[in-house]
Amino acid sequence: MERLELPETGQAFHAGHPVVAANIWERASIDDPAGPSALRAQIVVGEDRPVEVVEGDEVAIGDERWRVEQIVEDPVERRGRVVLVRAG
Amino acid sequence: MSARAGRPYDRTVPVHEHADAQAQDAAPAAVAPARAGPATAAALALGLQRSAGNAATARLLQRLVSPQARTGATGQDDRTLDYRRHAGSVFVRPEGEHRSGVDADDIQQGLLGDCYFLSPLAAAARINPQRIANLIRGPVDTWPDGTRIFEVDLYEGHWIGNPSKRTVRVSDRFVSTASGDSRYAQPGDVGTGGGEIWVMLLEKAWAGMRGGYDRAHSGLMADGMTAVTGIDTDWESIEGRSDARVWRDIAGCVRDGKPVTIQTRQTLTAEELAEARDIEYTIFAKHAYNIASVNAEWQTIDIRNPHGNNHLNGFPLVRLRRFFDYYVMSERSFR
Repeated sequence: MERLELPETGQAFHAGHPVVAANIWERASIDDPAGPSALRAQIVVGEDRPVEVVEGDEVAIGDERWRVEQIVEDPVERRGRVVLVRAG
Repeated sequence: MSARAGRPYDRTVPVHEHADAQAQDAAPAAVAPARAGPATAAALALGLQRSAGNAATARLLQRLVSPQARTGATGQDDRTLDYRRHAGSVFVRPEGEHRSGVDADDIQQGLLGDCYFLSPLAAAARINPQRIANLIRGPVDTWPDGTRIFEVDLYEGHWIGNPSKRTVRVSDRFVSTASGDSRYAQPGDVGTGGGEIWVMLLEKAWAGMRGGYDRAHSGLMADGMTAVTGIDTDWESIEGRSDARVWRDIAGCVRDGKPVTIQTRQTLTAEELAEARDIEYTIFAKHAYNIASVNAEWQTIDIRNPHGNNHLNGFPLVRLRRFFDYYVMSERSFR
């Protein structure tokens, strides 16, 4: 299974697209700031608007669909990561 | 250090292959006084302030209380990474670029978490590209397989000030993906042999100074700034300072040719992330940005991302404290 590991604020390049995972911590959703907390991240492809994700969500990188397999908040190193697996 | 000084070449185990081959003594973050001194941290700071002045005290305190870890050991073994040659020229000079070939826009961060190094590099390159170009010499040697060896000068800061120059020898073999692309800093402008490699060489030399890419992952903007400029830094927390004071500092740096970088907060609330979205900026927490210019009429700041995209151009001064934590300024002009 094809995987893509994105260290927080590092920049990966996949299929010609810069991809960044950022803003990883447990918090409410941006669309519902008063709602429940969960471990969330933002995925940014190129200069598109950030997509807020939790584990299990799918994101698009170009024409490809990727599933968010794991979100890791790393309080020791102070940098987390997001692991994507190719969907479909 | 001359081209032939240092450890002898070993053709079997290429010493310049891996960044951690350049491993040297890590600078101690804590103070180790040579003689009996103050018993408490407060007494130590007061004594230091009297003997070495405010700037040295600030540098020491920054290292002790900084919200960022000095190093971020991930357990990665650099020797297990796939290194490949990148045959591009050190510098490529497209029309309109400075004659040195160095341009802040050549910088594109990769997977390594070294925004704290690449942002000061961008800030400094924007002010004086020739001084950045002068950090790299070579190739000083070429191996039979074509691998080129370069010498790179960087500076190591000390809490008492007076950064010292360190010369690091690195090859043109960089951590790469299976398809041969650089995993970390990206090549810049494309020339005849491929993308230019000056940013990759500086990043590799920095990793070598830190003891490997693993130890270059996460760090202090002040260390990155001193490394590329050879100049000590000041840092200021935004909290507790008026917008006018922050503006005076940042605009003053831009006017005087002092590189300045700015760090986002460690976390942002859902409301703050929503605010960023509403004003159409993509902002990454725990990330080091660099200042390109200011607009006095509109009181806005052009803040650049070392990723080479998602810049925060025209960022309003009045919103700075919502998203940013502190800024680091070179003590002297880099012109």
